[in-house]
Amino acid sequence: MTFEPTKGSLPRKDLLLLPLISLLTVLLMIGAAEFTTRKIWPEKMRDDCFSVDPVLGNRFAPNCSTMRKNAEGPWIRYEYNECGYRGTTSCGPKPQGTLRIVLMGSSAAFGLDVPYDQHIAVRAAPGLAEVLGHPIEFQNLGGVGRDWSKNEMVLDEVLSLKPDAIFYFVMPFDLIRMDRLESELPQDAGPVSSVKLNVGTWVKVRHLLANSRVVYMIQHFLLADESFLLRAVQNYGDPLDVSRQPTPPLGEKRFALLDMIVGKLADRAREAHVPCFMIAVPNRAEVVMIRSNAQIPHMDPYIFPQQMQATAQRHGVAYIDLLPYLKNAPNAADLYYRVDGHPTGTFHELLTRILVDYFREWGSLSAPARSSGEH
Amino acid sequence: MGNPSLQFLAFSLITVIFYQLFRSVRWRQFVLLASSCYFLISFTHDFRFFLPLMAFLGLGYAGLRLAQPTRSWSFPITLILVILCFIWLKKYTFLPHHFFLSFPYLTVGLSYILFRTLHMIIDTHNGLLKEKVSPLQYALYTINFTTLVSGPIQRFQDFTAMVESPSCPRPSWPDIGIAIERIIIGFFKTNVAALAFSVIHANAIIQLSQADPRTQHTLPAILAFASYPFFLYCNFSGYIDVVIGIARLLSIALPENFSRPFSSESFIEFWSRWHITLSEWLKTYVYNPLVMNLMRRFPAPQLEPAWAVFSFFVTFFLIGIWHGQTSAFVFFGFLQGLGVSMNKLYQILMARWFGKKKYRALASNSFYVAFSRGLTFSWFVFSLIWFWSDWPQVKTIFSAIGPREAIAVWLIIWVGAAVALARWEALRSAALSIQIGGVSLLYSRYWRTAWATGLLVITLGVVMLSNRPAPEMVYKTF
Repeated sequence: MTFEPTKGSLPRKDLLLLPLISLLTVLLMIGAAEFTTRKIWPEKMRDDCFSVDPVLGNRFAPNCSTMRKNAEGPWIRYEYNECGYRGTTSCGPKPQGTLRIVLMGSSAAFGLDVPYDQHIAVRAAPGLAEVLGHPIEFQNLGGVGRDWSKNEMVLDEVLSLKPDAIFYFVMPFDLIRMDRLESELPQDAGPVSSVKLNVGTWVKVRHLLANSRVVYMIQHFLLADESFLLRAVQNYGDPLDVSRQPTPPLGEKRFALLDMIVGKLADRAREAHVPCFMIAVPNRAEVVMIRSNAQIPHMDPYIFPQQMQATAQRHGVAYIDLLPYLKNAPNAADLYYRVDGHPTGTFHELLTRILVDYFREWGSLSAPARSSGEH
Repeated sequence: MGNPSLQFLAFSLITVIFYQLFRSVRWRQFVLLASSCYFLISFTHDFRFFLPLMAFLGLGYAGLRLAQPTRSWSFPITLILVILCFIWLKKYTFLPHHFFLSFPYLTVGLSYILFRTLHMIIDTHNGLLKEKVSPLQYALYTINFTTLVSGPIQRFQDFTAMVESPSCPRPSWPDIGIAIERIIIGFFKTNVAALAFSVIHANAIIQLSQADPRTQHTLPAILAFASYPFFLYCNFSGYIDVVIGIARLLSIALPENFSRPFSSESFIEFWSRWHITLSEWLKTYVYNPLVMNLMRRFPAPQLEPAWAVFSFFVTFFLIGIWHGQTSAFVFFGFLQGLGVSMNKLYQILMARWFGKKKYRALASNSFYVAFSRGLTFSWFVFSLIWFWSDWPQVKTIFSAIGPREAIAVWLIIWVGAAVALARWEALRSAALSIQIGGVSLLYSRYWRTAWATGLLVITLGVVMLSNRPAPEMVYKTF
């Protein structure tokens, strides 16, 4: 056997044609993959009931109903009551003897991508009624993508509902939105814009490819593997940058802004004699780090919950600690949408258990605020 | 760098650039030797770990010098010494444990070095290799990085003719295209297909180990058994594709090692399509001499078929033993020998009972072909169980599925393979029949460019997104 070079040379036209075929193949493959993925995992993120509100930024049309779907999840019906709050429970005067709880916050409180029969507003009501000895009614004033600053304005509406308790939901997403609130900063804090937003390569790449469903679904399947998620966090950092150790100046400012807003809300709620409870929902990445006890340099998954707990304590808001439950949840992989990052119905199921346990121990909604256990 | 990784590819391409820089034979020999040494060093930086391998190479070279036709006394001693040294270094478990070297050392490519060394010693003794082999030629042939880890096993004469030819041409543009296509296909097989089959296999094994009722183990057992041959094929043949492509860029033509083995209609044919160079080596240096010797010693014509059956068994039994050091591999070898020898016996008996013409007519019947192909595949699947597991694992698997289910699993794989492979062959024929200008579309450079591009996109996507290396080369450990 000897090496015999292939006889004949390439026709001149092939020098152009073959690279062109390669390029067309790549484009065709990307197109076909995108088309197929969009057919298999459709998405409808637009809420037909959504309307722009000059004060709150967004609102939902009263008595409206619509279907939405995130590519990772099922089709979900969103129904709004006569006040435009998510759910079918009337926002009119509360029935005699019923305890009314108002949910405040952004998408975590709203239950984005969670079917309402799996939301705590439906799930937790019977259990809480049993432990508190009164029928429980939830009014969901959570808004999708709402700034925490808007919550101050929502509070008027919240208090007009004569609630017996307010539950604040906070997620790391909310901290990112603090960047819009530069004007709210105390004088000595310095402008936020002077600090470069450090979101890491992973997020930058994600933003670039945000519109590709193929990339989205590939991430969905890859992120099923917790070790892959940890490697991604290790290599590219926490996408929302709330776990960086030490907390960067921008992160400190975000926490300070949130603390200020929570303080204002708590003061006004206290004046109205409405007890407040804070539920800080960490990211999936933080939960995975805590569960696996992963030691990633310059990352501390406890920063966000600790900061939130400190804020709650500073302003007399009761803090409901989720970490002891999240650490030991048997179905941890199902608690969050893997790419989207929002909590799932499974998370709300766990949260229901946490709330019922918490109030079983405390025994009352109207009790003075206090914090639960430490991690 | 023993796996087809991007690092290995980058190293190879740098070697190609330097190798093709000048036409001088000395320069090419120097580049190939330097890159092969670097390749070896990439496995470990501790010089002590190389000593046993170097000693083995030295022994082989000394044996080669002693194996002149005139020195008939030294030939068997040399041969036995080299083989015993190989068994010792490979730590075959039938030898006492305290007999082995106690420190870790490099054994990568040891089996393939053995085959090449034995080939040179035997050919020299038989007068087929007349030229005096220099240490440089010997080193280049035995440790060159394209074939060190897993072959293919090439004849010394062929290899040296290409490396030492002053007029050895550089690859043409079509050659470069063909080589790139081959490398892409190899990378796809090792990084995508083998990865997928290894995941299926591993998940099925996990399911088998869970305490479900036996009937729920049927599907995992089918997946665990049937996925492994495909994994092994993609893992091994993919690596061979990559090294053949790289060697082509070095103006070295390596022999093919695979030729659509799952299309084989008999187990004998299977071994002429799977690890072809090893089968050829064993045919040349074990089967042929053994048959000839037996016929010479017992020259009765009626015994000749029996000697062929027996020699087939011995040859393929040795293949099994070569694969590993434990008793599971001895049984694997027994199953290979049994499969091939029974196949030969069946052919002899069928030809005797029906007559050659009728038997040939039967063997070309499409149902018979599909049935035979399924049986061949299922036998290989069954025998491979002792290849990928040890005795305790074999026991666990078979107690999880039970004897009746085990038979059912085999039958399902047999029938399933018969149907699936028949459909595959029909599909392939139909695709090949699409012709443009008298040439099958599948062989046109336009189609092949599109096909290779598609595989490249998928491979790069999987490699970058999965953040997971390709499964280790199975044959690297042999």
